[in-house]
Amino acid sequence: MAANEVLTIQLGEFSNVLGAFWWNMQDVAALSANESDLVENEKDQCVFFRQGKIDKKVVNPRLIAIDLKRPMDFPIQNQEFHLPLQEKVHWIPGENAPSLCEEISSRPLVSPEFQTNDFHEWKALLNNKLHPKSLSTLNNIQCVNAGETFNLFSQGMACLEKEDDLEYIENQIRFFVEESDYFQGFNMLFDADNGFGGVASKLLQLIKQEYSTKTTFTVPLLPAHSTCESTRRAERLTNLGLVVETLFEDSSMFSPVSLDPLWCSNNSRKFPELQNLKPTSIYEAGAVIATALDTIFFPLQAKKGSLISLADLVKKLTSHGRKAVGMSCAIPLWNGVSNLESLNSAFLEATSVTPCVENFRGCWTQQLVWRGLQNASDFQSLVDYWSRIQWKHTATSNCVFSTPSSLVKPYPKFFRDSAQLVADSSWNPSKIGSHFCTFGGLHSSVSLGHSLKNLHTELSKIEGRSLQNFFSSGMEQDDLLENRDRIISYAELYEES
Amino acid sequence: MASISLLNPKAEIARAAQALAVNISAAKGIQDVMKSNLGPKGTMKMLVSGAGEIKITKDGNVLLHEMQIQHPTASLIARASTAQDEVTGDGTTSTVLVIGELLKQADLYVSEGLHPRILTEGFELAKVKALEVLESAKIPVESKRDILLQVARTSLRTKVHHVLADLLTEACVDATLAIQEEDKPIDLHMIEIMEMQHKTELDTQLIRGIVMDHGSRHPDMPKRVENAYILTCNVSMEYEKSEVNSGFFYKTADEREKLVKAERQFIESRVQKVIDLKKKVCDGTDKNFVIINQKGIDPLSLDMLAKEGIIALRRAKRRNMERLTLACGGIAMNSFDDISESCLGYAGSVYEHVLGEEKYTFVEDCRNPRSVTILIKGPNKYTLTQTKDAIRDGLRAVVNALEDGFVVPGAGAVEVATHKALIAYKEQVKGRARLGVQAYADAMLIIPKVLAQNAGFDPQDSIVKMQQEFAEGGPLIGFDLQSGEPMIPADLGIYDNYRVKKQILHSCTVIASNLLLVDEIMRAGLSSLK
Repeated sequence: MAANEVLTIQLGEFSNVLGAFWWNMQDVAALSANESDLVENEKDQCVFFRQGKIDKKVVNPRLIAIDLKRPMDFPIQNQEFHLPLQEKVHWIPGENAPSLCEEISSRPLVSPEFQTNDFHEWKALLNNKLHPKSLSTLNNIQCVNAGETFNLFSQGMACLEKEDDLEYIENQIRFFVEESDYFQGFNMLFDADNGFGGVASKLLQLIKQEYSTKTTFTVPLLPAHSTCESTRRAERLTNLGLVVETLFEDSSMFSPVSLDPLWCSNNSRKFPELQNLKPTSIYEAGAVIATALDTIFFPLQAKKGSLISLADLVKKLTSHGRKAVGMSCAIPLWNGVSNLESLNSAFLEATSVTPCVENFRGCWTQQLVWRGLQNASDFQSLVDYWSRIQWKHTATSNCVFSTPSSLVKPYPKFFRDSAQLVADSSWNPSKIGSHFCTFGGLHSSVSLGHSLKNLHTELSKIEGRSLQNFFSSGMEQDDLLENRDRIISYAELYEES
Repeated sequence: MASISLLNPKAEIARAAQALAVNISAAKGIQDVMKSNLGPKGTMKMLVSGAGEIKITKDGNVLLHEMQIQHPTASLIARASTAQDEVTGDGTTSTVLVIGELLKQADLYVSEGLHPRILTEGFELAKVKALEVLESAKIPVESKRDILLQVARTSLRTKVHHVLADLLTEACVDATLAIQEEDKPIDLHMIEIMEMQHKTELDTQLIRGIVMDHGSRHPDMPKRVENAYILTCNVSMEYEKSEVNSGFFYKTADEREKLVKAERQFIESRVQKVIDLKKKVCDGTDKNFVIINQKGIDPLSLDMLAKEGIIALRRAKRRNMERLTLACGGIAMNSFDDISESCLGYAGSVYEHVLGEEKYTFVEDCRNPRSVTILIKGPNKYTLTQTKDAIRDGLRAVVNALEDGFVVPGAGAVEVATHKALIAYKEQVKGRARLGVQAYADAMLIIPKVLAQNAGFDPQDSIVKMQQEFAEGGPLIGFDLQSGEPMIPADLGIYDNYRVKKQILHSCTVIASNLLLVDEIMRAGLSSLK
């Protein structure tokens, strides 16, 4: 049977950067899947990728990426583009075209120094070719001038008011859906703390109206900020509040993800293996979260056995209207997990990437994915047994795959160090190149209720004065108060009855 | 020291004469930019966006949208002309020119010490008079198609090359006449504009039917059928899991097969209903059957339909559903429970056209289409956008003429007549306000002047020729851009929209008066809100 296609929609800069990493990782997995001596052919890439009609090997992401319209900044000042003279390509058409391709593919697009926020376009990070219909920009933004901001939920709503823009995006969606035979749903990544929240909310309404029977899994993302003045913080929280409301209304399931404990102070997000991870760099944070997503979405693409459809996944995790789920991951996961003892420590490694959520406590249902383990079936029974004993009241489903996550340029460098560490300890990475094991999980647990309550508390602390921008863009105080009440009622869904 | 400085020391200000100078120079500046683009002989501008996209155009509205105007006064003028576009769809360049010229003429008097207030009073008087002239110049739209063609041609020739303009003219007029219904406002949405990157822009054509940008997804379906019934519907033909939580309970593989089959049955019965209808209406005749669905159709259903020789299209655009029923007749169905022959539409031919990876489906030869498609072709993206902008304006021109019921002579004829009338009127005005009337009259001439200049003729010479000819009495005299001689616009079929001219007179007078009356400009916004 053909794949059940999923259309990915990315909104905003952080989502696009993250998405770029995610597509890169997926595609390498596809490449190595073709060389079947590396790993078992477990993955069906047609779920997220569209295949060429004639040449089946040509794939491009089934993706719609929406960004602001802005002048293109050519990354001239980046050192890696200062190529020495002899490396310059001679443009003689036809003659050395093949070598040209090799040259370009062999050249690292982004140097290892490339660690901070100083890259200019997410497309520079992406290794895949995009379909022209994948790209779109928001034209109708009054504040396109540099330095002006697209910070408010209401701005995002307003910029899709005009019918032309919405229709353009609708047509893009339709294009991808029309060509899919067994379309199962949408996967939406968006920046939740700025105007894209509003854009996402508009799109979700559209999707709900047009594709009512399809599933939408959304991942609101909150880029971390090193410094944040109080007004901006208030705006971000308010945006988030509004986003949470729309997601409970219009999406099928969502999992907020951030490396920034925006609304809770006690939650420090440390990855035990990634000591020098800078959460504020959207480049590094993007890479980590992309790895987590890549792991979690793997069961959707599995060729056999543990294949899960998006609808089933959602149904399993969202009982009683609890549409918010927590996400956790361990990157990299020690390959040494093979017995009960080490399994315990593996769970300690797992870090929650949803703010204010503790992973395994008070869980009702959870979906765990393990990747890169060699004898998958043995491990499957082990971990099933372990989770039955450990969490008596939790419905846990484990998916174990031998396909590992893959390191693809331009992945941040910090990671290579840890991969090196892996190499030192009993695992030989040279065998399968730059691959590593990962763990990812989705959890529906009591603590999401706490998280929502915390969000509510923080929102109530905000003074109206810092939301001046919201009011001038047409929001009313009452709307925001209503929104707070909604959030508390959503939090009540998570109380144990 | 201005008093605002006491209140806000950071405020930037410009006062009195300085303020006026700022406004006037901005208006002149934007006028200079747009000047060369007016009229059929106007030149083009090439716009390069930040991302390297290229647009070549002389459409005033497009230009003003794409240029990032920083100057506050200039952007005010630009907005006025955008409003002009929204109301009438044409006359944007003229608006900019007239505002600029009004201020330029006013400047002469103000510099001699005349108070701007008196000038604006003159403007008001002149405007009323000018509207009277316009009123007397209008010509009722009688022999419909001809005059509509002429209006559309006049508008389109100012946007694109005249060969293309003539082609588009026919398409625009025929399209509008096709969708026009008695006593109902014309809904231009019912004219679908479809782009196809293919051939040249001269292959742009009017399709009396619908073109859709997707095709059937089954290799066995026929690519072309004649004499087809069209079923438009919004019914899912995809196998889906039931909404409620459910599971299969089975003991043997056979049982499971049965359960799967039973679930599938639900969708199959829907498809079967369509097939039954097809058999009923088509069997034994030479008719064919096409189904166009807004929802999805999965491969198994496609297969069933293909076996019966039915063309099936899935995921049609929402807007096309409405258009399809208008074009082909029939009713858009939301369920198959009571489908019958009366729900079906008809099209003479339905065929598929493949361009690279893209498929297009043409639904043509409808009996009485009330929704049509203009299929734009062009070798590249920017030609397509250029043609599309032009078609939009052409359609607006036709609709305006139909709704007004009147047109006015073009080619600068109205402006020359207004000038003459105002000069005569000036004598009746008492006091210094007559200077305002004089300024207004002179400003009117900017349109014929620039038209002549863009065509390579001497502006003064041309104006004088026209005025002489007009002074001898008789009909309104316009300017022939080919020969450089005065002519009667009606003879050459050059007509403008009545409402475009009216709107120009209104909005330009208001904006120009407002700008003249400004005595202080201050930028004193809160810096944190910037």
